[in-house]
Amino acid sequence: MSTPSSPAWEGELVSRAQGGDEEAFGELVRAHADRAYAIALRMTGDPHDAQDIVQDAMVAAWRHLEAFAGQSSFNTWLTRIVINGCHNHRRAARPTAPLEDVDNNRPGDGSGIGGTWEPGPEQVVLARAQLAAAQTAILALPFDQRAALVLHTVAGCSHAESARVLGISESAARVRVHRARATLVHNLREWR
Amino acid sequence: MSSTVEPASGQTTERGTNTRDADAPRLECGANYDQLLAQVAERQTPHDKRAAHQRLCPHCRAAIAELEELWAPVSILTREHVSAPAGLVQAVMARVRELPRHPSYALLAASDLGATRLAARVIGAIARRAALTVPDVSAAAGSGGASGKSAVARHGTAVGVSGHHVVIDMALVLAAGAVIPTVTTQVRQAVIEKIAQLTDLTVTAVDISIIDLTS
Repeated sequence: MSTPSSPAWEGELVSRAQGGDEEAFGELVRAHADRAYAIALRMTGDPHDAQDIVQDAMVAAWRHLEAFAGQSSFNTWLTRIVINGCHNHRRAARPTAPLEDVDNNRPGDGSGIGGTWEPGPEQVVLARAQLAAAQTAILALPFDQRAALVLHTVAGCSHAESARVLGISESAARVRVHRARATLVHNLREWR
Repeated sequence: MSSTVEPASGQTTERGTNTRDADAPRLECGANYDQLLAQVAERQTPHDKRAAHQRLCPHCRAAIAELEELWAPVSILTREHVSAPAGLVQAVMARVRELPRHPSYALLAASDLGATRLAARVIGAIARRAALTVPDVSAAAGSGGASGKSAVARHGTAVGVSGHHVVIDMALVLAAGAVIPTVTTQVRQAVIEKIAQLTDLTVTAVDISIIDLTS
């Protein structure tokens, strides 16, 4: 048996899932859920929207699994579906949810505040305001720049990988990240 | 001062980044501001010569300090490990299990001993044979199967299946002089009855395209 998370292991699961093995597809979903959710969360800024997008993307992946020819990795293919879902998502369907209250903080909730560090109340409020401003600034980016930035910084994609997901050249992916950073810094400086 | 540096969005094209170009925003010392931003965002360690300059240059030190402060919340936000909500995987798999296993197959009644799936092309074949039993139907075109195209577009019989439900889109050739409403009614009745007789599937609709007449 291949090592879990290795390309061979994933290839086996994809092959079994293409043959209709739901358990194999479940393994793929488990393996990719966190990453897909993190991308959707940073793209939308809303946990509920992100969950809806990831669910729809996973189901779409199952329905179109036969069309996956293995020319890219399953991860790249799935990420492309998630990004398309973010693109098609209509934020008007649900008002933007604010980041959770300080009292509801927990590690890994997407707010950026958590873990063992225990700042004082004023620091928490300030840090939360800065993180909210950062998320707002990310959401204010044009979709193309936001997608490239999120793929590079959240998903850890190289520019080449981002380019494959977005269907653009590597240099275009690099420029979009560059522009996104410049715009973010400019806006965050203005908002201080 | 770095706070006067404008974003470089108007100074790059998607043909390539120009962080080394002469027209890139620069500090008074000549350092490329975009390179400093990339250095901070990527947590890069500059090469020795540049690192030595940055250690001594007040312009670079000020710009880097500001960029690090501005970028810190972005870095925290984007690097934090985010876990998918509990139940997301289960919700996905519940939806997956509700779907037909294969869009080209219809599901017959399940048995404890296993499931029976009927290929869409089989349903198409049954429908065509049923249609040919109707007087004035000269031909039922093609070898039908699951398809996103209509019967006319694919010159055959298109069959849509979802679980126990079937929609059939047929392309027929009739004898010249046939009363078309009468023939199509008879074809629908024959197709629905034959599929009900041979399978337990529910025919939701039988769409018919008359593509030619024979003399």
